[in-house]
Amino acid sequence: MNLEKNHGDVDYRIKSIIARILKTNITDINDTSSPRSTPGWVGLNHRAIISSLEEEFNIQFDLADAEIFVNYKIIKATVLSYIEE
Amino acid sequence: MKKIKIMVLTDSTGNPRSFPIEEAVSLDESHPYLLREEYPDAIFWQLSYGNMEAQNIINSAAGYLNDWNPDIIIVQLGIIDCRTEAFTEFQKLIIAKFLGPFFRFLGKHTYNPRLIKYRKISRVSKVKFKKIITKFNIIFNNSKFFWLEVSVHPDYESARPGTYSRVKDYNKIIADVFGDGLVKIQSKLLDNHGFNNDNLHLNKVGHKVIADELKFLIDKHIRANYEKK
Repeated sequence: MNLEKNHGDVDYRIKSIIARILKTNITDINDTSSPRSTPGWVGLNHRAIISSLEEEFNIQFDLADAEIFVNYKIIKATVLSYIEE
Repeated sequence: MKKIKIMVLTDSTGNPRSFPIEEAVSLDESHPYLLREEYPDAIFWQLSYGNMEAQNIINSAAGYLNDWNPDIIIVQLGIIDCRTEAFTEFQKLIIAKFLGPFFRFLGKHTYNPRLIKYRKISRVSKVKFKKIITKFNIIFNNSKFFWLEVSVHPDYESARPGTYSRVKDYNKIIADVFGDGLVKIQSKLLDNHGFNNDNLHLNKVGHKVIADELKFLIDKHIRANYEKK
């Protein structure tokens, strides 16, 4: 399975959304970025990130998936698994 | 040599089992513990939970250990996702919750093979299963996966009609995602009479067969990746 070709584009789109909502620089977002480590990534902003990702990629996350959005790496892996369908 | 980190994720098929008594498997006879004895210097983390879909186990591992970077991930999941059922989990909940003769009647027939054959519901669709394991593969992209082929004895058909053919479809999905990470064990389990009499769980021999196969693959992986040339 080749997901590599999608990674760059998807990576940029997810980071853009997170950076816009958290009002931070896109280069500040990496695999370990998380609600615990990133200022402003709390409550309503976390909800806004999930909604914006669903809209951007035209997907709907399962509750079980959204519950473990503990860092950027997992969010990206989840988005990739949804758009691979 | 590098101290290897091994994650083991299984449903009840990787757990010890105290019944049936004549085929009981103790903890130290289960394949994850046989492997621990083979690799005393390795760090093991195991999550085994009966009657649990792959998503629940995988999400726990991903949520807590996504930065642990295990060298090897051993997985024995999938049968709960694909085996045939008479009712969905939600329907089972409703049946268990409500009183009255109709719900009692349904409750008695939750595992009726004829009803299962007629309804043939699976807990997790093929599309969703692929989505779940693809995510798992991406999150732990630096780990070597050994996903044990979803296996049942052909006689499991009498309890869960339609499961045997569905198992093949889900194994194909695992092979699509993990390639040579799918570990073929079904025929070895059958040849060695490794299933217990429920035709799903493993007896002592079955656990040993799996432990031997995994040891062979892990040794090969270690030789190729961690030992000095």
